[in-house]
Amino acid sequence: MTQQRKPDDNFEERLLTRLKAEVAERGAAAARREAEEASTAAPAWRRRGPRLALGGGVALAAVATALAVNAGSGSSSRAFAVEVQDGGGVTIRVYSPEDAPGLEAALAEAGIRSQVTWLPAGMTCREPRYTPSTAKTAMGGSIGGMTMAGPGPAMTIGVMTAEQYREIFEEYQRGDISGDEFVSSTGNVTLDPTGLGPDQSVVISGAPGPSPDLSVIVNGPTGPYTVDPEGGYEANFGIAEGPVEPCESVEAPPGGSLEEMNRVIEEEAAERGINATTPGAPSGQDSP
Amino acid sequence: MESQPALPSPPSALSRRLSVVAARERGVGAEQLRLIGVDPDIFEIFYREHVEAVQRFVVRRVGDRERAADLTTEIFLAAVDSAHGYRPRRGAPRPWLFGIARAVVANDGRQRDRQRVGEERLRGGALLDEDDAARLDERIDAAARSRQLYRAMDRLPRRERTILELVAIDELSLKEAAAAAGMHPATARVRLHRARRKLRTELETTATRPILIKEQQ
Repeated sequence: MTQQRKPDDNFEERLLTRLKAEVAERGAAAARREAEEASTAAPAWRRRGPRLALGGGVALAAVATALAVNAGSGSSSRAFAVEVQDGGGVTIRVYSPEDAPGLEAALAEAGIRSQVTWLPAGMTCREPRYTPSTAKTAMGGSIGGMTMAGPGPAMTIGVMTAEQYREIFEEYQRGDISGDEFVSSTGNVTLDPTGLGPDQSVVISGAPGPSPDLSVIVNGPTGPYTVDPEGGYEANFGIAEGPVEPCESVEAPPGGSLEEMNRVIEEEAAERGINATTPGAPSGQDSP
Repeated sequence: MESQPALPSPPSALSRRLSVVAARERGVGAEQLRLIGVDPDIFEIFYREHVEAVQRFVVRRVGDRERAADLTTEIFLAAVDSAHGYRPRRGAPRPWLFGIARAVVANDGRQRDRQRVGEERLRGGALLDEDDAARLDERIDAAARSRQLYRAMDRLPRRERTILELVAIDELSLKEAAAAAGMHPATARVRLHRARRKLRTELETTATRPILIKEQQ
């Protein structure tokens, strides 16, 4: 990042412009392909077949689109699915912001205390209502908070020990599972139940969305939110130290200009020293 | 669908943005690298971080500015092409890119036709104007000594030469160079040691010691 500023018009800048156009084209093509696959194919995690089991041991019926499946211990929920991994960890995939008690129960079964609040569209919790903190993840890093948004399952939460994570990582390294499978096995947050202190808990809140300001971030000022016919949602994930006050529902702040939103995001990211996990790329080091 | 290369699963637009934020702060790390093929903003950060090093890499090996511009372009296009297959264990982004640069320069002329038949490939040489040409020529002149050393290394076995190039000429650390060359670090260390010893003998017998071969652990 020590690259010195160059005058606007030279070979390097011209080449950058051309290459960015090339990358943008590929990105658009990849997005189209993903959208097609999402509408025609079963989600990647179903391909694993024998590895998949539900929290309550209920057999999974073949679901054509599988945007929502039954899950939970006895209680039936269309909102999320719990996938048990070989090593004993679980991956919870949240398809829609519903059934907060069910999700809390699923997390509790995996060893994670949580408070989950799902709100109507356009609403948010008045913050602050808890003392933010950080917890160790199974990948060996730590996480404070993050926002996950998009079509379901925008939020996937892995719960496994560092050892279980390492096993999956090694399978991936050996080439036994693909990068996609690796990503879908671990969730975009992967918590280690032993990494949470006695007074720590997970706080999740969110709403169907996108909220007005989020749609600006996602699409720019005009574009429609078309990725998922079912609509998406936005979920905030945080780690609390000590008690968590109940969510007081307030209207989400109105969206500003794209530049303004970018500025806010960047400020927040800088404040939190954010760990911006990219779902597409396995994070963590060479070997955990 | 199974036979397709593993693409990143669709990250939400927001998480992409957060990746951009992280990349701006810390450079494009292993977490974001797979996105350089699909996200222009992340690509730009990556490009600005590395374009100078890539150009230096090229002009140390190539004395012709048009070809140097073409190769710089080819290297970034190849990086964009292969980003989706990137795995952190293959090395950090920088050695990964140098690995690509090595392959592109080595295959220069052959791979262009093979890789993208019928598709118009972006040509870097066409983007040069007079100012660029002068600037690039300066760099090429400055790299002349490196190219001399490069020729002096011709008699080394291929793998020894590769590791010495990356460490002595491109100034990668031994670990980075090993990753770029696809060698185990311990093997790379042995090869580097042998290469230096041989080259030192060679340079001593030619009565001149034009270039210091940097000792580096």
